[in-house]
Amino acid sequence: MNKGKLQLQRWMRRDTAAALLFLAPSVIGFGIFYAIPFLLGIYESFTDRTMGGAFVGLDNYKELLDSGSFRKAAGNTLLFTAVGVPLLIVTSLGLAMLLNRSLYFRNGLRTAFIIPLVVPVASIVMIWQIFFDWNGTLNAWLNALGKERVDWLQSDWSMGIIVMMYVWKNIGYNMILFLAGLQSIPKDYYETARIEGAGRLRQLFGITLVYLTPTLFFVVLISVINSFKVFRETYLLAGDYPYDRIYMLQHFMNNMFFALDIQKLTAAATLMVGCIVLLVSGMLRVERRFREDME
Amino acid sequence: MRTKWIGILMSFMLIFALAACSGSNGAGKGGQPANTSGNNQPGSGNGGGVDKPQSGSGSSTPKGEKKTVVFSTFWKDEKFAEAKKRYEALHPNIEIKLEYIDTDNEHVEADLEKFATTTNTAMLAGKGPDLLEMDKLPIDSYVKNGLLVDLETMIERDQEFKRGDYFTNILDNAKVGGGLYGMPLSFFLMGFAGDADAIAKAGVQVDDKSWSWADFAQIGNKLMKDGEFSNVIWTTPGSLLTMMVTDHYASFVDVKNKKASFDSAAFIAMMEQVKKMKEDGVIGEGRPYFFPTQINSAGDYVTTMQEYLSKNMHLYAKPHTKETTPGGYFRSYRTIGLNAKSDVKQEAWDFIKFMMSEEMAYSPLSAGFPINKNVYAKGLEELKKMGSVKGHEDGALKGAAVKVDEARIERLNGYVNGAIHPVAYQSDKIEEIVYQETLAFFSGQKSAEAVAKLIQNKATTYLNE
Repeated sequence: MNKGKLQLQRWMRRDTAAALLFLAPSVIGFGIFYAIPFLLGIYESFTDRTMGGAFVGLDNYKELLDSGSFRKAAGNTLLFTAVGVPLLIVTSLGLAMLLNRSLYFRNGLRTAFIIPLVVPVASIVMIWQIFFDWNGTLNAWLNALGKERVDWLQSDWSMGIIVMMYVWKNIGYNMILFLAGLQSIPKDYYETARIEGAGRLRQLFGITLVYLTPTLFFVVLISVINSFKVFRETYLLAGDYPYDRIYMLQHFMNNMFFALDIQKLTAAATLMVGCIVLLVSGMLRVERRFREDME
Repeated sequence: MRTKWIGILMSFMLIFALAACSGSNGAGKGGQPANTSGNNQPGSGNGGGVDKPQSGSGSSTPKGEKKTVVFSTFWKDEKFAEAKKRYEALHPNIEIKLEYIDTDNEHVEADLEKFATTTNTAMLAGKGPDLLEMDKLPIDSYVKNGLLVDLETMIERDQEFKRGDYFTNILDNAKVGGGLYGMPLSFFLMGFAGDADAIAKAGVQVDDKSWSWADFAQIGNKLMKDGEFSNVIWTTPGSLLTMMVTDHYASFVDVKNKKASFDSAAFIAMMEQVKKMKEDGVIGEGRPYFFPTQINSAGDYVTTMQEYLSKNMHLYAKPHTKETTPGGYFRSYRTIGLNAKSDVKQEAWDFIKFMMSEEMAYSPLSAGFPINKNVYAKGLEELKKMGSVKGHEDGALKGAAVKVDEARIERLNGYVNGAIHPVAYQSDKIEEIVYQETLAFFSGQKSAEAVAKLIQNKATTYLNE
């Protein structure tokens, strides 16, 4: 018994060493390209001037929070996440459940939903731009129908368009994740439920959603993170100063970068990362608790 | 066993990915010296970023040793190459290193962006060249970050520098944020070319020293009523409105309190006024009395004025607000900034002074009025000696020569000495927003209120960042 324990320890040690060795390249890469620059950025956010400025404490953060545009950007980003993520989850889950059944042309459909992931954004944005422009296709149709035209990208509609774009872009990826999750639920559960006389709805809430929860957590997480990344599409669609509603945090940061205001930029980035980390760790904690309950 | 193999495979993939990353990185680094060596044509004496530390070590070496001043511009400029040659001949212990981007028409925009980003980063990192041509760089941001030397401090310390030798109207008004952070080596005049005969015939008096936009509108109406031409000014409503906004900037934009007032009745009235000008034909591209114009040089003044439709075109100052002091408009050209982190500030300042001095060859036909009054006067003498200037081959003159007229030159002197309102080399973000958003208003697609609200929104966002 004692001998076995010793062996185990040695084995552990050997394995740790090997793991560290194998991890080193990625850790070094991550460190050099992400972690170290980000830590430097955090340091910059507490100084008054780029490279070698004096320490000014929270002044940059105070200035940042005083900036009306930053508050607007943060509000818009939150609103976007709050609307976009649930919508994306519901549609992609619905789609996954639909495609999980035997359906005519199922494989073709599955591929079709994954295509948005592979298509370069710039080419798509161009079409959207032509479609939604003030003098674009959609307004031409409206005009032909004798209706007032709408400035889609310069009114509150713009948020809707960005949400649509976000859903379109991410639905395929989420769908795959959900499909994998759905397929891992044993079929017997449903059979048993059906024999017991459970209805469709009861099956959905009692089996599907319960056993899909770990996947659901992961998908929500990825979707939230992706929702912060919607800037690229928005920027390509509406430029650096878009309509009020779709002025996101990343617009703010991008404009700060071009104004050489590195202090405000790094302070904003630090705040944003802080919020995301809080959100994610909160979610992970909930998930852990849920899993313990399941067991 | 299987998992182990997968693990090994994965780590190999990671290594490959990393190697690929660093590989492309190395290639980029390798490409740079190749690029700079490509620039290193005889006579241009271009160095590269690689040699930059030399300028730093140069300062610590004892006197008599060679010092290097790195001078970065976007375009390759013969004028600077000439200055370098002459200066180095006079100062054998100084080396001027010219850095520029080799670009062509197709890549200008991309190269320009790259130039700005790399220069910005280098400056923020405390490296960067000693001297920079600021025309294509965001001088306001540089000043805000304390990256440039206030050249007034250099002037103060310099006993040899005589302010009176230069166009002080330009020097005094080229300031940014309370200091002279960029030295304009030369400048352009901005104004209207107006058909003096036709205006006189219509019985209209134009006092361009002090006319406001309201006066301009009034004169426009009168010209439309009594004159024979179909339009007053050759422009688009968007450009005219942008000009007016720039002039009334302070009444629409409160930079200090970060407030915009584009949703005010005043701005909406201004938009409506410009639209009415368009509808009445005041703005149009038929046969107008005035053309907005930029005069690049004395020689350009002689020919450009003849390139419009009439024989007797005069230069007029642009209208301005009642509040501002009367005077014309100029745009700085070849504005040179001095890096605050430079180790060779004194030498760099000396080179700036050299480029402003009479030692530089100057032709009255080359772009930009020189900041040095004596150089300008010499140029005028030369111009008079020439007697005539050949017009642009592809312009309205088709290369025909234009006689130099003394009275006209005399009038030019007044404008060169009287230009006191700077026009930024690059357009301001708010001007851009105003121009873009009002297009839909002037084409009659949106109401003035809707457009004003949009401009107000975006301007507020911009100001509050």
